Amino acid sequence: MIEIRSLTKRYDSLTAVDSVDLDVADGQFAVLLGPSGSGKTTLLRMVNRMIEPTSGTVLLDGRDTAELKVETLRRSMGYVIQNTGLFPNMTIRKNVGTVPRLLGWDKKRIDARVDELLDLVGLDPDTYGPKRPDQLSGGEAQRVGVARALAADPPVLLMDEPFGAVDPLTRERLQQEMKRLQAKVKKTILFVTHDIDEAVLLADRIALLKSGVLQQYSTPEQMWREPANEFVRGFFGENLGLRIMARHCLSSVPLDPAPPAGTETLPRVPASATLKEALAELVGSGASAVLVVDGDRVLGSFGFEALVRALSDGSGDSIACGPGATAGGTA
Amino acid sequence: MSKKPGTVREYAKVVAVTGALTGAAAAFVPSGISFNENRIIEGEPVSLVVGLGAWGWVIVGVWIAAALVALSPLPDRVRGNVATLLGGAAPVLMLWAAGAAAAAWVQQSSDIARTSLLWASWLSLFASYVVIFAATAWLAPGWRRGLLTYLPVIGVIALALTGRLSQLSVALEYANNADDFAVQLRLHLAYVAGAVSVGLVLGLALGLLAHRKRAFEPVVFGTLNVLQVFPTLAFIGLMYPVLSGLSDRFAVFERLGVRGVGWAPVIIVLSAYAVYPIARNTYTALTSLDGGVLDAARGVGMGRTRLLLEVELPLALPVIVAGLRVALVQTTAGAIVAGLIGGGGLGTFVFLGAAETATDLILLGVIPIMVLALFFDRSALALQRALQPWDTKR
Repeated sequence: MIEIRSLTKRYDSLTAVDSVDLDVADGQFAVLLGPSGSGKTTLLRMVNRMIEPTSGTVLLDGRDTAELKVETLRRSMGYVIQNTGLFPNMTIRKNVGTVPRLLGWDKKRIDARVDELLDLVGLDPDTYGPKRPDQLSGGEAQRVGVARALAADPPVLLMDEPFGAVDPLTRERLQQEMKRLQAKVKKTILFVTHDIDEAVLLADRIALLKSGVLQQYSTPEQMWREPANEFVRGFFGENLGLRIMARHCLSSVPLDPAPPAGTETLPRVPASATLKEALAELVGSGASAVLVVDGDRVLGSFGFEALVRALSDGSGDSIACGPGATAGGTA
Repeated sequence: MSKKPGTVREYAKVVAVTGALTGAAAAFVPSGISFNENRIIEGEPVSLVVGLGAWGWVIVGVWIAAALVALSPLPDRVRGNVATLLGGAAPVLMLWAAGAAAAAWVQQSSDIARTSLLWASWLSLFASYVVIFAATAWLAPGWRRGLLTYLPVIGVIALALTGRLSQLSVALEYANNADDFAVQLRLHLAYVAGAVSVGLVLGLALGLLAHRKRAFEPVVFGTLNVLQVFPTLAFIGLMYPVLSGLSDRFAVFERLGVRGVGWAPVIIVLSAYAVYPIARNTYTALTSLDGGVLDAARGVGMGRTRLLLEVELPLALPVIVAGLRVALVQTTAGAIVAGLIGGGGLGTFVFLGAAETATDLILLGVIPIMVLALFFDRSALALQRALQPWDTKR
């Protein structure tokens, strides 16, 4: 649990972060979003005291972080930055094992943990372990960066535009992986980005900042339905509804009963598809509804009414889409 | 490592041909070799083709063959190997023929007769270096290329050890001074080792200080810049009263042999010059480290010492060693000055030879200094590369 209390950072005449209050519950994925210069990175860096605040406090599980030794604090939080910051003089194994090494783990335990983590981020330990950072692609390096941050199993993960420097295709894949990974490891995450799609896709809650002032802190759905002010509405623009549809899977929303077999031939869409994909299918095919299927099994039907119901439902839970997602809803 | 770009390989052709033609031309320069009555009186200088007879023409042929191979459309690997071999063979052949001619001249003339190699001969050694340097651009790096490059060095050592060069004047100077040579060589190396060690410690410390406390940067490099451009002898002159005063007043300095001349000013002046390249490279290396890497290192919870030892120094070390390399080469040459102020070292032969107008005695000092400088340069370069295993893409 991270509790940020009237946190402020002032540089001479500039107030980079202005009295921000923010709670991130255990296991929650909070995204700090805003235009450049909005203070999101400064806010993030005050959490692990890379920047010391002018005033205000950050509590970690109820303890004031200012009272902890700064190295101890940082070792208890994973830290991922845009250009990976991998150490070029160390192998991938050594990079990933950095924090456990700093914590004085024995070699066997570190080795086992490094293997486990490289597997977790989808890199074969035998192939990638002995390599050096300059031998990796941007996407691979970023995965190693995430593995290094997770090494000592810290409860908190701080990520500063981690996918900002990779190509769009890789970025999308990394975002999907991040979503799956979070479903598995359930860390308390603070994630800085200026990419609205990325924020809406990944966040449990978004903290939208402007000139150091927190504008709204809520789920993307709430921001869509009840924007706190004109800035919030304008920042997300017209597309927020579609972006939110991309957050949810057919498997996570209530479906209508399927029409009796044989009466109508409806297009079939897998339950792992997002609401946005289902909408595209509805519009494209001109049908009144699509059949939601899990393999050959028909789970139900999904039409415009079901879509409206799903979006007005108010449940803001973000559930991972894709093959790993469990089939839910009513049959 | 990847292949060198094509333009480098094309450019190497021009360099190799220039080198080979320089070697060929050097054989016709009338200051190639001289056959003298004795150690001091120089005979009529002649060109290598005159002095070495038929072998002189063979050497010219080898140089021209090297140039033709360099220009030929042969595959890079063949071209590189053959041109390196020919470029290396020419000076070895020249030295062997000169050694033989010198032996013949002693037979023909008298026991005190001397044969001196003149500047055009030394020019052909340089030409060989140029040809080999260019030809290696066509070869893949590795131990094969390394061996091929050093083959002529092995050749010269073999000639010397088998006594083929023993009647050349430089070799005779060595034979006359063999005991003293060993002493002065050791002394010279001690000066280099001492001064570079002091330079390394101070250079690292000052470079680190300038990096950590930016306010000191102009002070540190301002001082070092002034020291660097201060003439050696003026420096020694200024220290003279200070050092003599010290040994006059304190017995401990006198017992250590600290005087206005001798080893003390040599070590001080050489150390002062050695600090600059090391301090400068240390500072530059530390200040130009990737900010993201340092940010990440602090972010994962490394303290100052760990940051320095695990990240900053390993990343900066190749650049620091590059500074060490400059300091080593510079100090090896600079230590000649010891010969002038009673400090000994290889400079002794240089200044003694100059006083006696015995050119070959000067060479007895200069040649080992050049060999040492080249050796330090290559060794430090190898170390520099070994310290940077992550730079494998270039």
